[in-house]
Formats: sequence, structure tokens, C-alpha cells
Amino acid sequence: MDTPIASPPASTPALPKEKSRSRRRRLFPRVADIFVLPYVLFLLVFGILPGVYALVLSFASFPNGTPQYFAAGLQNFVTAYTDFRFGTAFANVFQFLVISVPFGVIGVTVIALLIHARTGWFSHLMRTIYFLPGAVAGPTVVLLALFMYDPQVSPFRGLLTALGMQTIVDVIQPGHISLLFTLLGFFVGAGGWIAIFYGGLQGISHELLEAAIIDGANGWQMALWVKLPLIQRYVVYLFILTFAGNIQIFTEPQIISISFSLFGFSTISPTWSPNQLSYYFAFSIGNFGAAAAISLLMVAIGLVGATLIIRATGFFRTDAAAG
Amino acid sequence: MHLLFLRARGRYASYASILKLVVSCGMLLAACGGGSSSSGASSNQNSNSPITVWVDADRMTAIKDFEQAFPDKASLIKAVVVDRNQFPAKVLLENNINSGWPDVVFAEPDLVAQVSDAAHHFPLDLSPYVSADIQKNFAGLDACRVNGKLVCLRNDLAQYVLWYNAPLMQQFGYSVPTTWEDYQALGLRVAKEHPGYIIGEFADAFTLDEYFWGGQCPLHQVTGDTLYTNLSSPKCTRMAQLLDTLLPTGVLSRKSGYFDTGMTTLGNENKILMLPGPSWMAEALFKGTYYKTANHQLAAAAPLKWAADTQAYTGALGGAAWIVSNHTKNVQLAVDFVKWVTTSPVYLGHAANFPAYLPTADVWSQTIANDPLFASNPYPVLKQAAQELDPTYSYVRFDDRTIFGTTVVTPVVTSGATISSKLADYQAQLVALAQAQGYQVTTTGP
Repeated sequence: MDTPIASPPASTPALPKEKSRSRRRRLFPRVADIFVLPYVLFLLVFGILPGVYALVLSFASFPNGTPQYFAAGLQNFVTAYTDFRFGTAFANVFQFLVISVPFGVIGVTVIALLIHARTGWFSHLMRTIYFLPGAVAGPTVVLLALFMYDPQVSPFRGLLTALGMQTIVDVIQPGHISLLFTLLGFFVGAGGWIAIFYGGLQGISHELLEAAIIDGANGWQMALWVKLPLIQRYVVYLFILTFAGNIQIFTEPQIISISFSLFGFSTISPTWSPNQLSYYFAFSIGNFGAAAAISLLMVAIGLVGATLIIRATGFFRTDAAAG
Repeated sequence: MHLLFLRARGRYASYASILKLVVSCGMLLAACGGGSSSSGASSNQNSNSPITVWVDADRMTAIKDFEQAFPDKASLIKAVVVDRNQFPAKVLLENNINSGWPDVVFAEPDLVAQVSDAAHHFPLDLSPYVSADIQKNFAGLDACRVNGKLVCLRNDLAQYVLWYNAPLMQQFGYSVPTTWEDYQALGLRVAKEHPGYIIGEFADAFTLDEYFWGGQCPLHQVTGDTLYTNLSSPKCTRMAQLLDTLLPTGVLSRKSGYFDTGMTTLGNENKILMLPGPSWMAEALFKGTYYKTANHQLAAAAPLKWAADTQAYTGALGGAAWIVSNHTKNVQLAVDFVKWVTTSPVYLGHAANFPAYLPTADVWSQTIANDPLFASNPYPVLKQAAQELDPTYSYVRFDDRTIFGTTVVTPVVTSGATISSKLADYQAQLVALAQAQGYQVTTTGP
């Protein structure tokens, strides 16, 4: 990360000494370890252990509903990865990621910078307004969205009918789905991130901004060349979390496909996203092994994606080492 | 796709229950596995063992009625209100931990089909417990026969009939069609003489059941593990052609399906001349929704048949059944309960939907006999239609309707494609889904 504030370069010769000292200290828990402990416990119980269980399940077969461990070999992986819905599900989620991740990251950054450009009652009000939808819990939002997207009842029906859409099926068409989910996700998630970005922007020292003004920077230049580099790390963090969250999309297509099928509308397949396909394998077919195989693939994609982004951006480099 | 509980509730009212379902579905975690599975009825029977019955809120009446009729058994019935769409998934989880199954479940035939495969291995074969005489008096029991076993008893039926507006038909001077050919000809006349009136709909995926099941199109016929499907059969293409002929004329609603506000508007404006619909549609949708006031408008005509066919067949949209678990510790009580609720007029004789047990249905007919909604008593037609449910149709372990929506209805409604041109797409999806569910698929002969 390129911070305009010059930091002293870390002295490399000192490292081995520090390392040995820290190893000795490890015998006793440090305050930091205690702070980390609850997270590690939860990670174990809700992250690592289920992951290991999925790994075990992925080699199990389910001939009569009960698992026969290590009886399937690699069959579950073959079944899942050659399924006729596998390619479509990943294509769907890929399209969704291509639209939603840049939209989310750029949208949040732009709005945060705009709000921060001129602080005052208006920007505080807007920040609160953006934050409000975040108070609505996930699935409830989908419900709200169904009203918003229905031209017969939506407050935006003027806009929707102007676009030639008269029924909810016109709106929620296969070609529109990625965009609709992007809007939905942005509506819910953006507010919280705008607040965080805003906090980050507030942390920039006044001297620095004044210096920029004295140097003749206008609002655009300040935002682009001074503020943005300083909150770059937040942007990367948002990028990682949006990617990891969006690739797991499940609730939105699942609720819409279930509720639609009750009323005879079908525009979203019940296996639209990979997680839905996994769910379908587990709870419609009873093949928990194939479901686990897809889940493991999702874990792998998430890990590889996060590692690449972290490597490329130097996300975990400390300020001292960042130079 | 389980419609029975919809009744008069609107689309939006049901979103809440869907939401609840999805939230809890999302939280399901596979529990640890192990143990072996049993087959047939559980061996250690105990006539004092309580039974758990999974119902929905509407079906609590059945429990109360049973407890009143058999006070000595009341303490043994443990009723639990569940969302039965989760039923197949829960059975899988219970199989995983080898315990926790309910003893009796109220569910639709497609859920019954789902829990009847080897992976779920849930229903008890009821044939030793239900005499042939009783079985004979049930209509729609084909839905409960899976590989020679009787896996459920039907609660109620949702057979399609042709609902029509009697005063309007009289005013226009039309006679009620008896064949699909008449229906098409009348549709073309309505388009010319009374544009704006509808004789059916093609706006939702229920049209699969409304037109194709009823037209005896071989969507899926299951024998053992073999599934026969053939959408290029003349029995399917003739229906597709009929719909393709009528769709451009506007006599089929293509904006609004059964549950759309648009259909309600059409009904309020008295524009629904005819509408093929299930038996519950009269009380659940026409009464109070399509028709604001009951004024002797509605009449039922028998399911349409093709001129070339010897007999009329019909489809269904909903209708439910009761299943007994093969894991139950008290087969006697579970079976007695299911037999009683399905056959006794005490419960179904006054319920909302058409009872599958025909002697009870005769009692039930009193509930609609004097309803001011009807121009003439629809009961004889409903009873006839109940016995005309296509026996070749099999309920399957996959959702055949959603893919009909995605491959046929949505393209036809939004981009103006013809139905005939989309049946092949539907066929392809259906075959793929069926194979993924473990069926051997054939397209030649049943």
C-alpha cells in the first residue's frame, strides 16, 4: 500500500531476534491470544469442523439414506462436477459476480467519497439514510424486493411500466436476474460499508487535506489522489468480502424460486447458483456426498480468490513494512 | 408447488410462510450419521406408544375431531404443525441420525413420491391395512400407488373442471363446450364477438396441469424406476397447437395467472367467461376474489375431451394425502388415525376441499349445495371429474412445473414464441432432471 505518509523502513536484521523472543513468550497466553480465542473457537466449530465433516461426507455414499463412509471413492465428485446443471450454475454465479462485485465496490467508494466531499447536515442525513436498509435482515429484504420488482404494486411501477414491464415475470426474467440481485445486495449491504468508509475518511488528518487544498487540489483531485489511496485497504477488504459473499448467493434465488413456484411463475431455476445445486443434491436427491463435493469446491474457490487478492494488494502487510 | 394450503390467501400473504421455510432450510446442518435402515413396519410395536402427526394449521381440525371421537386415544396423538415442504429433507436428516421420524404426515402426492424412493425410504405400505372395499371408494388413489405399494391415503382432490359464468354464456348465446375442439371454436368466436373476455389462461406454469396433464399428454409415467415421457406425442402437440391458435386472439389471459391481481380484476369486471380450474377454485378464488358478490354466476362443466378420444381425462392442482411412516412404533394407531380422517364424514364431510373418499364426498356436497355462488350445483360434475383423473399420470420426485415455466411459459409470454416450438426444450430439461433423480428415461412406449 502506498501511503503518502513516509514510514521508516523496517530494519530487517532485527527480525531473527524478535522471532526467538516471541517464541519464548508463546508459553504464556498473551492478551492478544485471549482476544483471538473466541474467534478461533467459532472458526473451529462453525468453519473448520463442518469443513472436515464435508470432506469426510464427500467420500461417503448414501445407498439407502444413511451414510456409508469412504464407500463412494471419487464418485460424488464425478456426479457433482459432471451434473448437467453444474456448468449453468457456475456460469450464473460468474455473471452475477462480474456485475455485482465491481458495482458494489465502485458504488460504495463513490458514494462514500461524495458524502465526505462536503460534510454537513446533508451528508450526515444521507449517510444515515444509506445505512437504514442494512437494518433489514437478509431474507426479509428478498420479500421487500419482490414487492419492489412487481409492477402491479411497486412504488417504482412508473419506472417499470415505462420500461415496458407489466408483470413481475417481465421484471424477474432470466436475463435480468444478476442485475436484480446486484441491486438488492447493494441496497442492503452498501449502507454499512459507506459508514465504514466514511469513518476511514474521517480518520485522514486535517493537515494532509489542508496541504492538498493549499497545493491547489480541487474536490475531484482530493477524492481521487488523496483520499482514495488512504482508504485503499478498506476497498480491498470490501472487494474480498463481496466476492466471498456473492459467490455463495443462495437466499435470494432460493426464496424467489420457491415463492414463485407456489404461484406458478417460474423464471429462476431451483438450481440457479452452485449453493442451490448443492442444497438440491442434499435435500432433494439425498446425496449429501455430491453436495459436500460442491461445497468443497466453493471453499477452494473462496480460498484461492482471497489469497490472490491479498497477494496482489499486499493486504496483510503492516504499515511498518509497507514503506 | 404445493397448493393445497393456498386457499383464499393471496400471493403476498404467503410470502411470509415461504420466508420462514427458507430461513429454517438454510440453517439445516447435516447431523452425524451412522446406523442401519429398517424395511417394512418397525418390529417392536407398542399399542400404547404415542404417535407424532405432522400437519399444517388448517389440518389441526382433523386432530381435534379424531380426539373427540376417540377420547381414549387423545393422549397418544402428538400433533406438530410443520412446513411440509421441508418434509423430504427432514426425512433424509432423520435417516442420517436413524431416529426422529414422524409417524404420520399430511402431504401432497408429489412429496409422497419424493419420500418413497430408496434414499428416503419412508412410507409404510398400507395395502395390508386398508381393505379393497375402502380402496375402491377412493378417487385419485392412483397417486398413492408406487411400485405396487399403497403408500398413502388421499385426503382431498383438486381435479380440474371447466368453470364458466353461466349467465354470461346464456347472454352471449353460447353453449358450453364438451370437447377441446368445441373449446377452440368457441374461443375464436369469443375473440371476434366479445373481445376482452377470456376462456382460459396461459400466464403461469399451472398451465402444465391445466392443459397438458388434462389432455393426457404423457408427461411422465413411471413403472418401477423407468420413466416414460414423450412431449412429441400427438396427445401433447394437439394441445400445443390449440393453445398456439388461441393465444394470439387474446381469449387466453397471458398477463395474469390464477393468483395475479390481473385475474382478480378480470373477474371483478366479469370478463372471465370460462376458466379451466381445480375443484377448490370455486370457494378459494371465485368466491370473494374473482366475484365480489355471490350471485349465482358460477357453474362447472365436465373436463373437456378430445373428439377422437373415447373418454375425458383430467389433471389436478393440489390435493393432499396422509402417509404413515414405516418406522412407527404404533402401526395400529397410525393406520387407524389415517383411515379415520380420510374416510369419516365427521372431518372431511365439512372441510373446505373435495374429499377423495367418495361416500364422504356425498356428505360434503351439502356444504356447497345451497351456495349462492353457483348457478347450478357443481357437485355432480366435480364427482365425475374426480373419477376421470388420468390414471397414467405419475407423480415424480422432481419439480416438473418450474421447468415448464422457465422453458415454455416465460419465453412464450415474454417473447412471443409458440408453445409448439418450446416443447422440445421442456422435454430436454425434464429428461435431464429425471435422470439426475435416478430414473431410467424412455421416450418410447410406457
